[in-house]
Amino acid sequence: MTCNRLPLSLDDYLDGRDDNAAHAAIDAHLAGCASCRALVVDVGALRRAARALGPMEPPAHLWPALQAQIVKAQPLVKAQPPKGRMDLWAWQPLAAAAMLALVVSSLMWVGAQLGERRPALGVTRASSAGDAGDGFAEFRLAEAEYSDAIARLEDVTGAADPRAIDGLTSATLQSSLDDIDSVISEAREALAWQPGDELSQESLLDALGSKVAVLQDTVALLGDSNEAAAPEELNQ
Amino acid sequence: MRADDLDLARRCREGDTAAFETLYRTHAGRLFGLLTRMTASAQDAEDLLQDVFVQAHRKLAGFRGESSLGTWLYRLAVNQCLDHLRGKHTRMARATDSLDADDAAEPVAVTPLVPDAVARIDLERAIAQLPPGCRAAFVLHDVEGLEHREVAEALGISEGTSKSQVHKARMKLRVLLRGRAAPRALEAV
Repeated sequence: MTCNRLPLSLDDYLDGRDDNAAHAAIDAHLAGCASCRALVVDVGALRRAARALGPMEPPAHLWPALQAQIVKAQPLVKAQPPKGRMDLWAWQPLAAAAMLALVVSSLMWVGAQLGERRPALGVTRASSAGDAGDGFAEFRLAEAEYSDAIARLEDVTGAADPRAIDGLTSATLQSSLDDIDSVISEAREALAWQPGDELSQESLLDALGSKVAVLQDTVALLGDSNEAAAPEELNQ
Repeated sequence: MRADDLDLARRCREGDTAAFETLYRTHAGRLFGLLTRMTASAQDAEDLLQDVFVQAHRKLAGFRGESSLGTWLYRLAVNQCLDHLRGKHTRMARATDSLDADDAAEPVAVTPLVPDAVARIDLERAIAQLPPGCRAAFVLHDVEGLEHREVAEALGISEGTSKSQVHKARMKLRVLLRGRAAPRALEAV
């Protein structure tokens, strides 16, 4: 071992990862070289200090700027939703709040009733060509009732003040509805080919039921928000 | 742990801003430390940190859980940082050549020069004064704890050169931390 070779073996020596022969060779060299002994002490101190440095807290302004970039890159709530989608951004004057409360309670009842009236699809198996059997008729009836409830709930939410729900909740609800609409669309496409396919019928009714539930939650949130805001605004 | 990473990545991909904030809060500190020390510039580090997370947001679809999310982000940050340093025309090879020329300027000490307990602020300032080539090797090896093999792979140099670079960084820090800067040794700073 020489002074020139020691630095390249130092990390393994300090970590105890070198073999016995190499370790002994360095020990023997250090016994006779003050300069290398000083080097070993310094490198040990530097390594300890460097490992202790740890993370650094980024400035507070970085997260909001980053968040804005991310949200811009991935719009969660569309300002102009495509045709047929619920528009959470349309709004009406506060005078509609009272009507909203009335509609909320009646539609919650509608949603509960639909849950109890799902047809027993397993009773009558429709053919792949689609037929007008009892099971199929009941499926169509349930589908129509779900669709009607959804349309009414969308009217209610579309008429509400978008400020009533915070941005993150609104985005989450919209994201859920987008996913559900995708399932509804796929199920309807499948039923267009095979109207009697029970799995697709089940899938469609499940998705419609989920959409009713999400819309009911939205309406309930709007209702809660209006109740909280009402006393202040009435005093203005 | 890996299942948690996959779930967090999925939620981020689905537009869950709260999930992305969790990702940021969990890993930003370590990445910011790496970037600040590698670039020796707070402004560059801030810009790079934003770039890393924006890039991460775009590339999350490709995260398969083969490594942890932290490791995946770390690799993104290292690559982004090195691209940045190369883009500033700081070539690792050029830095190596200039450091090689400085060998004869290193003082030979027979007593330890580095205080037993090095103040964090003193070490941070000293690291910032290192030439970019050996600073990168030192930060990745001594601060971040990467093996020489990993440092070599990241910097596109041999393992032997990585060891040499780290050694040279240590020699310069040794002098800087004692406040006795040898003039020729600091010309490359």
